Amino acid sequence: MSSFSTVTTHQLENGLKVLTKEVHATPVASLYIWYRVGARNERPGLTGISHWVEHMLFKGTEKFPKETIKRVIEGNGGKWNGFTSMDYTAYYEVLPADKIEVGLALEADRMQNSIFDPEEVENERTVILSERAGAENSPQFALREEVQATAYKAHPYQWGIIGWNSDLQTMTRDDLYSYYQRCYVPNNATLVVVGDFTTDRLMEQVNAHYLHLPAGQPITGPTTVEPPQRGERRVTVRKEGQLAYVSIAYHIPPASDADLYPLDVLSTITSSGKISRFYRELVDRQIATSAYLSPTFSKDAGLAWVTAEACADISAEQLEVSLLEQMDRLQNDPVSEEELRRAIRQTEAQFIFAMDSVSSQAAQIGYYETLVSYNYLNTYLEQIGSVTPSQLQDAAQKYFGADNRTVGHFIPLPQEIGSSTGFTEVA
Amino acid sequence: MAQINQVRTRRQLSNGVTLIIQENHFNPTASIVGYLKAGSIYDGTLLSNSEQNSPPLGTADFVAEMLMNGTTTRTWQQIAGEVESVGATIDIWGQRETIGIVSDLLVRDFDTVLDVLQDVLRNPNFPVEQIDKHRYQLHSTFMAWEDDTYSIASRMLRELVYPEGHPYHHRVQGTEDSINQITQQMLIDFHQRLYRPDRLVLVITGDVDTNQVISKMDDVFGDWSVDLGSETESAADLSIRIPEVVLSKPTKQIRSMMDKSQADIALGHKGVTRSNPDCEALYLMNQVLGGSAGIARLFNRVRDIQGLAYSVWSSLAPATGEGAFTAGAGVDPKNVDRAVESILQEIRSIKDQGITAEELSDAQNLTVGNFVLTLETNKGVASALSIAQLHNLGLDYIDRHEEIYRQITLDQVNAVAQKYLFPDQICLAIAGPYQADTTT
Repeated sequence: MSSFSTVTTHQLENGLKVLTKEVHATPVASLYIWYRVGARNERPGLTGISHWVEHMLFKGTEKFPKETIKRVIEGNGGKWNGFTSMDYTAYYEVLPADKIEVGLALEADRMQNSIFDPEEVENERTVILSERAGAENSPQFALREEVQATAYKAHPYQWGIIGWNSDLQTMTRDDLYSYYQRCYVPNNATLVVVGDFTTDRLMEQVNAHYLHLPAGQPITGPTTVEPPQRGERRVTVRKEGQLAYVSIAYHIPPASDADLYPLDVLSTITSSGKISRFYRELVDRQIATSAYLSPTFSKDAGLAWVTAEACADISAEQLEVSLLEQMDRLQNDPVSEEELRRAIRQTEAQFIFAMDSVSSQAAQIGYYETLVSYNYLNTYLEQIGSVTPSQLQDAAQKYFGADNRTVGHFIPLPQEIGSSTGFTEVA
Repeated sequence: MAQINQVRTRRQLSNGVTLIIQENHFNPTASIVGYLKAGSIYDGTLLSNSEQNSPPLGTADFVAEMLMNGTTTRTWQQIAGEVESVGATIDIWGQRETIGIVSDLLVRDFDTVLDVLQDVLRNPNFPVEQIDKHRYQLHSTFMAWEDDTYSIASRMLRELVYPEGHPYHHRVQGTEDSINQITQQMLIDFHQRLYRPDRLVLVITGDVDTNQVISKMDDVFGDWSVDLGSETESAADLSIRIPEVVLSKPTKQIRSMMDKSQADIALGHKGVTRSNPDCEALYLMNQVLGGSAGIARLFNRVRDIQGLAYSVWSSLAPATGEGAFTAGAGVDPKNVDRAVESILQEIRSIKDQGITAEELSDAQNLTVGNFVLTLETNKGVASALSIAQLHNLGLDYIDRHEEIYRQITLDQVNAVAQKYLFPDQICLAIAGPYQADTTT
């Protein structure tokens, strides 16, 4: 079986870190480039800028003009995309192995030569406003945004990745371009390539495309540390809808903290599959249609989210009571050895399934390297396997108390539904 | 390529269960993917001439969802416990023509998972308490869908494209009314009638030994008999003919939801069957129209140039019957009419002027390349083999895939665009903060 112990690290002089892993199962290679820039690097007035910059990197460079950049990956039989989070922005290409240099060339070029044509910036403004409006249609999004903004009062994690509407309406091309020039430098990136190649040959290609890129100033994250929360906070969203939703957010430490292991196991015990506690105690008892505990794995101190959709006729209050019963139980009673063993086995299996694909391996290597270190993957199963019931209880007591939580309710208001059908010429 | 060049074996057990096995020893995992022909097309009046025996809409899906909820020897907790304790998954769900089956497992747990899988397919006992719970869950699910502009637009479009009575008209999960009529006996009857070994296909890929798999499958499925008494229908009696769809006049349906931020539009008409020899050429046409992000005209023009929408796409869903051709977008309510017009214009343009040689070449590269990428995982290979079996494409379809798509010419693509796109007979559904123009 393949493992992460065969990852090779290459450090270029301009600060770019390159992580490679040969996998010869299928003639496919996957490339990810991770920039250590996301919503946490933003400030009021420029919320959503990291995500918007990501969109602009699909608009062309001089070498790969707009018409070319659209075709270069798909026209070579590949897949590509980009995504932005609180802590990073990443781009990927999955290609037939003999075409991977196309991806290397594209990422090297658009790291510093994207054009940011003013007209393209304006078109993209409406696209991103549309992306935000689409998300707003979802009650879960509306609630999450409110809870997040309430859970943090100082740290930039308080706003969402997409940004606030007024910032998206007023941000300028120069704002975007200077942010791009500052953050898209080789010393702020990690390049990961996994797949069917020989490392020496691949590194020749990497050197040819990346060595000449000049390093930039070091990028630092926010200095603001979220002050401890000293009592429960509550927020309500009232909007037309059908079902009630509850989101509860607890402050937890950053990814680098060892407490993330027990929190991860608690997530599996409460939320993974039909034998999980939330399924048995909330879904099977017809209180929720779904319920999950998911701790964020983030650069700075993040949140553990408890999110649930109520069954028809169940109010947000009723749902909250049931969720909190489960969170209290985690604090009051130790988890049984059997539950723990099962969770560890589930985690192991998921880890092995992810090795099936070069893309998921490349994604994991880059993700962990950006947030902690890719070595996390080499000790992860051992760490999870050594978690004890008392560590789980300690973590629950430390983080799942009332004073550390923000509780959000989505209250559905009756919909004013109108509909019509016509037999008309539509064009 | 390691997986594609592996030996592939198809074997039919004496009772008719079809097995396809492909070994891949790269990772100690395996996937079981397959189907059983008992989808929602068997709901309603089509199954039987007698009104009384007709399973209400949603029955097929209800049966599929109940399989994991109890058998004659296992409770739902035992089923979930046995599978999940070893980190495996078994998912079974209702679709239009078949029920889908997907299981991922570590190969050391193969026997454990297989034993549960055969039990849930063969011996579900449909406990009344679980039936009521599932009905209530469905009720909540329907409510959540009624709050989702995309779900509503998609549903309205489907109902406009397929006339009432057509087996593709109704939602796989049925309606509030129809699921309230479903009884335990109906579920038992439906299961007894359609869950038969000769309707089951399972594809096993991964770190397994072909001969051992066949022998294990024979052990667990071999005594499943087709002969259920004098009322047993032959396989031919149970086959369903999906009627052809007649194109309608242009039709528009609107659901106004004024508290939403964005409107979803969905438009389309009937498409083609999977057995239609034009299917692959039409697939390439759709890649150019709206089936991808990079090369597609809808994405490049409606999103990138006009800035009208974040999401805009078109799709084909070839099936045993004429699966729909659909295009759609999520747009600012003030841009709905412009977006509809832009999408129609692109459809007209492809129908009238065709695509370019460059676009064809890009679409071929994209299609061939992305297919290879899906074969990277056991599940991907198994899914491709399962689909090939369902549509009689041949066990070697995944080897021939590239040749099939590379041989298609520009003339062929442009001819099918001309033949199968009907921008003047389009059905249109809109859900969101948008109101009908009362002047039309």
